[in-house]
Amino acid sequence: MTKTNHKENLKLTGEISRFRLEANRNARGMSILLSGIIGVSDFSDESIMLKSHGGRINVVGKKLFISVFENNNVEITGKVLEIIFSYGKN
Amino acid sequence: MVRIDCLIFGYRKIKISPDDLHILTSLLIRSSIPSRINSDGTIIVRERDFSKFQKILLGRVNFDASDPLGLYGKWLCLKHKISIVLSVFIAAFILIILSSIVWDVRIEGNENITDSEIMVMLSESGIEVGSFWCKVDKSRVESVLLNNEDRIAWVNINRRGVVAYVSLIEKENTHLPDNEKNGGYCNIIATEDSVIEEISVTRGTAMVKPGDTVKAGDILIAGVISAEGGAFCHAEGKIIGRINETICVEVSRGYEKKTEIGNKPYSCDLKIFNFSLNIFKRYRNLTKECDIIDHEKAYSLLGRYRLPFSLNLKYIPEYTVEMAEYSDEEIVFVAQERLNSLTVSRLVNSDLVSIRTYGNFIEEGYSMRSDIIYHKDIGQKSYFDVR
Repeated sequence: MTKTNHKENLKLTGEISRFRLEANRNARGMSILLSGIIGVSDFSDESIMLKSHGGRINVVGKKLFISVFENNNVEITGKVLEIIFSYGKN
Repeated sequence: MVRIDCLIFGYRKIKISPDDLHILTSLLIRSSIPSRINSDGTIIVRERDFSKFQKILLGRVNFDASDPLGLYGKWLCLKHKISIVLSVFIAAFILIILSSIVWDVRIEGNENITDSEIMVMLSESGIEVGSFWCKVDKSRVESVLLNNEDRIAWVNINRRGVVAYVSLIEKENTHLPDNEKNGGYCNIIATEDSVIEEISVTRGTAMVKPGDTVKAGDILIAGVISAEGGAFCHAEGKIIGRINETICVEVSRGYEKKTEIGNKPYSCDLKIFNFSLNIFKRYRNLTKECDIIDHEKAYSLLGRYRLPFSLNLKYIPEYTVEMAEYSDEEIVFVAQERLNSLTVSRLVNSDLVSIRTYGNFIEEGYSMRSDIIYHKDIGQKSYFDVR
């Protein structure tokens, strides 16, 4: 859950069991940069399902949109409420 | 919001069905085409990636693409309108060339040295109206001015836009009057009637002490050194006197009330660089007295850069004059204003000790007076010759 009353910039960089993400707070809520993404299985305003070699990442929130960058990097921006990781082969 | 590189180098807006969004996104990720995808089916792709985008999506997803947008898109639209593009370039070129020329030189800080003298010195040093900024070495001009002109103590040349501002400080005048050159004997005398508050003698002999009452013209410090057997000298010292004064103001009830009814244009000049071009002038009866208001209207670009032309408007305000009477409040206010201005002029270079103000209504109007006590340097040099 994102903390909405946090005053400092939230910066999180981590590698969680093959999922690598960087998160930053911004005016639109939050932006999450994910690496190693190979596809998208679901895309709507409130839920985005991403596929990677190690599993799936489901981002739930509001007013979400995707920015695609080179080398399989994807950035999701919006009011992110949940990030759910699930493992498996894609 | 579109990224800055897309705005400058161009981008396209593509519309697809929201149902195909996830397919398109997967294709874009695999092809590494930078883009921004919104959930409503709008995609923003850079113009340079658009052809690659089209090849990937051909036959797989239906899409509608806009014309090129951003600065590059505008350029493509205008490409066939050569005249517009050329005129924009020519205007930019002229602006760049004209902003590299000195259009005006403004001098400030000079009192004894005239503007024309300084302008001659500046033009000899390499800075004048019409010279190029790139050829002007401000430090060198400052050094030349300081070396060649003894009357200048400090000089600084600043560039603001297309105007050169020359600020200078002149050296203090150390020229001695003839009296001082020939021996320079003087006494210090009182300028006003006062009571001596403080006296400090640097040279000479004190003739008064604190508490003495003196009249205007009395000698306060004599130009005589008694210790040297009565030798004459140039008296120096400071004498502070306490002065009691009453300032009185009377204001009549009736006065002439001027009501402005309009402005009559008198002349209009257009000033470009330092040249004045008269647009119109109305010749008036020179014997008739009137006020002439001079109003200079300057123009600027974006509120920051002053343009090198201005409009000089002169007009004569027209009034009707009728007799009116002050009310009680107004008459007190007017009397107060007049008394204040008189008091301020009297207290220049003085320290006010106390002030008491009284006012009363009289038959003609209103009378106000202030009893002021102040301290002031009352010494003045009075030269004398010895024969």
